[in-house]
Amino acid sequence: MDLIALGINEVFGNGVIWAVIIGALIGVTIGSIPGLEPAGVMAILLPLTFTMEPLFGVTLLLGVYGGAWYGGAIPAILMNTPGTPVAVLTTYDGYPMAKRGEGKKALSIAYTSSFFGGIVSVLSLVFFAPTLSQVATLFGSAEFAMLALLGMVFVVLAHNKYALEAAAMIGLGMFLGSVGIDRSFNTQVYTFDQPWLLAGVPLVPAVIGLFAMSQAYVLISAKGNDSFKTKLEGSGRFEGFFVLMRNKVTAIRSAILGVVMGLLPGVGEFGSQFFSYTLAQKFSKNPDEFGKGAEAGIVASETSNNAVTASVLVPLLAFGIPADALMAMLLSVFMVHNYTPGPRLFTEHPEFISGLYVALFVMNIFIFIYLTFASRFIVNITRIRGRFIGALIFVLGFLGAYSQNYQFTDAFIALGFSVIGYIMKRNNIPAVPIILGLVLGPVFLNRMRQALGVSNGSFDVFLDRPIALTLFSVTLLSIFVFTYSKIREKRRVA
Amino acid sequence: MEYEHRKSKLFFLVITIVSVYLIFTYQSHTLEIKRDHGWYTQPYVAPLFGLGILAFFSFIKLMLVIRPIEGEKSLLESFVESLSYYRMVVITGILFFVYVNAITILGFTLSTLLFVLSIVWLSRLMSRIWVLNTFIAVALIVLIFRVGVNIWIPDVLLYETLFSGETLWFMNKYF
Repeated sequence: MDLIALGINEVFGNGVIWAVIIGALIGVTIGSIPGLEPAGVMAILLPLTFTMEPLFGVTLLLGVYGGAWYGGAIPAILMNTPGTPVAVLTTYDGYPMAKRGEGKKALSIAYTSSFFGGIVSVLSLVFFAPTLSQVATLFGSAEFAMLALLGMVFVVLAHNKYALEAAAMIGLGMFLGSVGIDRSFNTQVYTFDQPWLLAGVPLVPAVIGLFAMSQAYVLISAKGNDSFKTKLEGSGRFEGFFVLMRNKVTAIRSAILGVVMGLLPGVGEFGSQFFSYTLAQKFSKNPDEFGKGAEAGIVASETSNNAVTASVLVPLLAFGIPADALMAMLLSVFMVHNYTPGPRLFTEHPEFISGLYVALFVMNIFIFIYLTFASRFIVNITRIRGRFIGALIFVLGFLGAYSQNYQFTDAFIALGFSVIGYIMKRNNIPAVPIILGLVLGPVFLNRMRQALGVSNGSFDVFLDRPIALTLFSVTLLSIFVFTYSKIREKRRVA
Repeated sequence: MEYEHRKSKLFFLVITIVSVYLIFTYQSHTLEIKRDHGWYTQPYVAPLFGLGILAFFSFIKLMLVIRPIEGEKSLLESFVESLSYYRMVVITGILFFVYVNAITILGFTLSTLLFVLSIVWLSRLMSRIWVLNTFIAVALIVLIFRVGVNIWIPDVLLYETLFSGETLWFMNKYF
């Protein structure tokens, strides 16, 4: 109870509530504009959070992250265009429902399901994070190296059809992560004698370029009239609650899947959403209704993608291993404030942890109430021209990249990554693995170097220690199962 | 293999060549420290590990898509065709480059205004309403980031020729 009181005091007494509200409002707005991704906007806001109190900065970014996942359902349902990539499956049943004149009901189902998923996710964070952080005390260099390896392998496998591309991009990220000065010998590594590369490839300009500015090119070069005429029809603003009750098994299953997927580095909301939707269809009495406006379809999709939002924080808080690009950015906020994730964070900064829990609860409640009553107003946001937003993203991208170190070269690095990001978008090559390679690559290589140093270069150090061996076995098993399923799939097609 | 998976042929061809080149020229990019043991501490291990993964998977991907299939455009044809898609990217990229360099000469507010207006014009959105929206958006950005958050920008050449004393300080600090 003391912990809860501490958290409530942190959130309401120290003004963190404003970060929650502002972050959530920005997030919902971003989510409702197709083409704007939370990763890019979080990257732009990231340097600004470095000057804030840690809890303020983290909750602001989490508000953007969580809010976008809620808001993404609005254009998915009303315009058949997902506001965020994770709302793809919501279009399957949400849009047909809106076409039948039940837009309000579909939105209500999406909000209520998202709220349920979000709350379950926060509860999972409250229960799992402290427990797993205790497990982290048993971790040495070998274990951390294997965990980082597992994370990178999961990222690749999660890209399923694009796994080869993702593997190559992980390699690119790892290479970029090694550029700069080698601290052991004070020598330059692939800097091409460029002074601006001595400190390595900076994460924030890379994220801004790959996610925000590359998307700005897409928006600016879009042809024709890109503003949408959307309207909100029907009744049933509170219908979502009754639909959720009717589909409680689907909701609970999807929430659990979302939480579990969030705990696995790299898998995230995409995997959980597809699994949940497929299972909901499989166990449904009316599977033919899926894709034509099935209530259970929206419940499965929206519950699962929001169930990831807090559980994805567990590997970050417990081990310092970010599960996706957004968590990699949050990690940098922690690092700037000398808040090292792991068991010591829980004992040394309990006010931060409890404040985070309370802030996440409040955020979900606020977004749910806001969306339930302000949908008619938010719908207007979808009418803003994409090309105008694209132009503004460049300006915000400059501010985000520049303000981290006050160097114009960072803005040019962002520009370089934006071109690469756009080429990748046009060729369907995933960009997330680059960021995770950039963050997890150095963790893996440095920890491996330390572990090998202890064992005088013997790889037995990874096989003698039970946790390291388990993680390594899971990595190998995952690769084997994935490869086997791919070969079977290919044979079946042939 | 679906067309979507074959689109990246040219990308992976370039990536494979570049990564293989970087691997073979590693000695000119990193130092090899003479030691009897502890190979894993060498500065070249980490970049070569990343480059190795990049080269290996890019090569596999390339092998899977390089053989042309019936009706598919050649590498050169698809490269020429894709150039039109990158026209706007090149123009916007150059504009952004000019914009960033112009900030120390014209100041953040004026450079931003000109940059956004140029893109609005290139996007064929130049109408009274979008010009007004541009002014409002730029004003908001200046208020939030320059005045509110106080992001520091080097002193501006234009202001130094136009203003002096407190006005110059005010302009350099907020605009």
